[in-house]
Amino acid sequence: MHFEFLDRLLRGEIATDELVRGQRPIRVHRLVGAIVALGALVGVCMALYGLRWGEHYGGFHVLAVMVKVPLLFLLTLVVTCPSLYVFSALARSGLRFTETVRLLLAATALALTILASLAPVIAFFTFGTRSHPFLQTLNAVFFCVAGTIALLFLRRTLAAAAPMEARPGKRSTDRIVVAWCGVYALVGAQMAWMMRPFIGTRHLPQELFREVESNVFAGLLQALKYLVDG
Amino acid sequence: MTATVIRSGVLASALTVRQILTGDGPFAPGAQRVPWRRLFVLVVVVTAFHGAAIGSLGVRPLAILYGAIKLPILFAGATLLCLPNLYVILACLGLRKDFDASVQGILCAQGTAALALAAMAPVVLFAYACGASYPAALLVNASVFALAAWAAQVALSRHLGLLIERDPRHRRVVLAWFVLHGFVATKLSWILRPFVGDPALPIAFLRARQWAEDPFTNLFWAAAALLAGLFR
Repeated sequence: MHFEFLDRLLRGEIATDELVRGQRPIRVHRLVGAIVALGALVGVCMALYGLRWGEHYGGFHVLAVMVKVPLLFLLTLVVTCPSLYVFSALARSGLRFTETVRLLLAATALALTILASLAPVIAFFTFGTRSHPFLQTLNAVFFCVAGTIALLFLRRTLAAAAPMEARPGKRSTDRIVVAWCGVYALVGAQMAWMMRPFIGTRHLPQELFREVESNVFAGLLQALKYLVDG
Repeated sequence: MTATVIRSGVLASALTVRQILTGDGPFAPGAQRVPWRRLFVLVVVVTAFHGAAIGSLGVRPLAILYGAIKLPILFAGATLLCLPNLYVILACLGLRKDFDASVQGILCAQGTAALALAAMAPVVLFAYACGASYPAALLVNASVFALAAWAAQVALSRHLGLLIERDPRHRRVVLAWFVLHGFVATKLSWILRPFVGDPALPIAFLRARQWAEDPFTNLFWAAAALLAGLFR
């Protein structure tokens, strides 16, 4: 599979027309392929902690996380895509539903490319520290960085895709992206919480999904508290 | 043959949805012939869908059915109760000729709000699937309704902006509409409770004694109880 478009996506060389309604737009299956491949790579590096420090983790954990990371992004997209379409249509962005899907897939591929570039750092820290809260926080920060860059890309593309007569009112596009980002961030964070474990916890048994308890914000606060209190 | 009919029906619905959201075609501000029936059917279907999603906390089929019935009643009821007053205000200000255009704007805004709600139904269902508690479910639904109200406001200002440009007195009409509609919708939603439905309580289409209750005092205590529930 050829992923040279990812390089152009990172450099900002892919024109809006090519992404949403050009003569030869990027194919959806190529975007999904990139998401699956990059997500699997990120998954391997995240799962290494369980293998290295866990008492009950094996190859199944790595395999499960390789599947779960791309699934996390794709399921978040399924939940939030209709709302982005409605909000962007309301701002007269000119994007059709299929174009909205393609744009979101491109933003997701971009986020995963950034995460994949940080995956060696995750792997390095996995072998360098036993602290589970530290690795949890590090992963959360990396996901936030990747997500923010992807959302900036989304904002730029949505603004560029707006018809000329709608551009003076760019503020509406901005407001829409901000509102939608809030929804996306909440759903994405909670989806990740539901699909735990990704990193793995040393003394806990290997499981595909943990029982749903509390929510992601309570979990992150707890990790930060452990990190600060030691 | 059937597939072709279904396909053309889906395409027509998708086009209608897009035209309502962007304010184009027959739903453009100042359009001469608005397809009222299509708009009404769409609002009823879409709000019923979202009502079913709201009522699905605890996955109780009867609560889902009640939600699907009550949300369209809330949408249509609040608007119908306020329309006569809109006519009177426009007539008093000498703007009676703009009644059709005002109603068009209001109904397109309702359609936009309904579509925004339906688009966020997956978010509500996801929150429920995450095991959201009753107070958390109330908070999620309140946030979703706030976003839908904002979407409606965008559509309304698109339509009524033209009228205000033509005659600034329309500003007063819009303000009166917001106050009255907000007042009526709050009371009606209080009467039609429960929408979400606490899974710990038995299912009821309406709660007892709510006709006599004052929603504005109760809403204060409901908000306080919601916050207390979240931080418990």
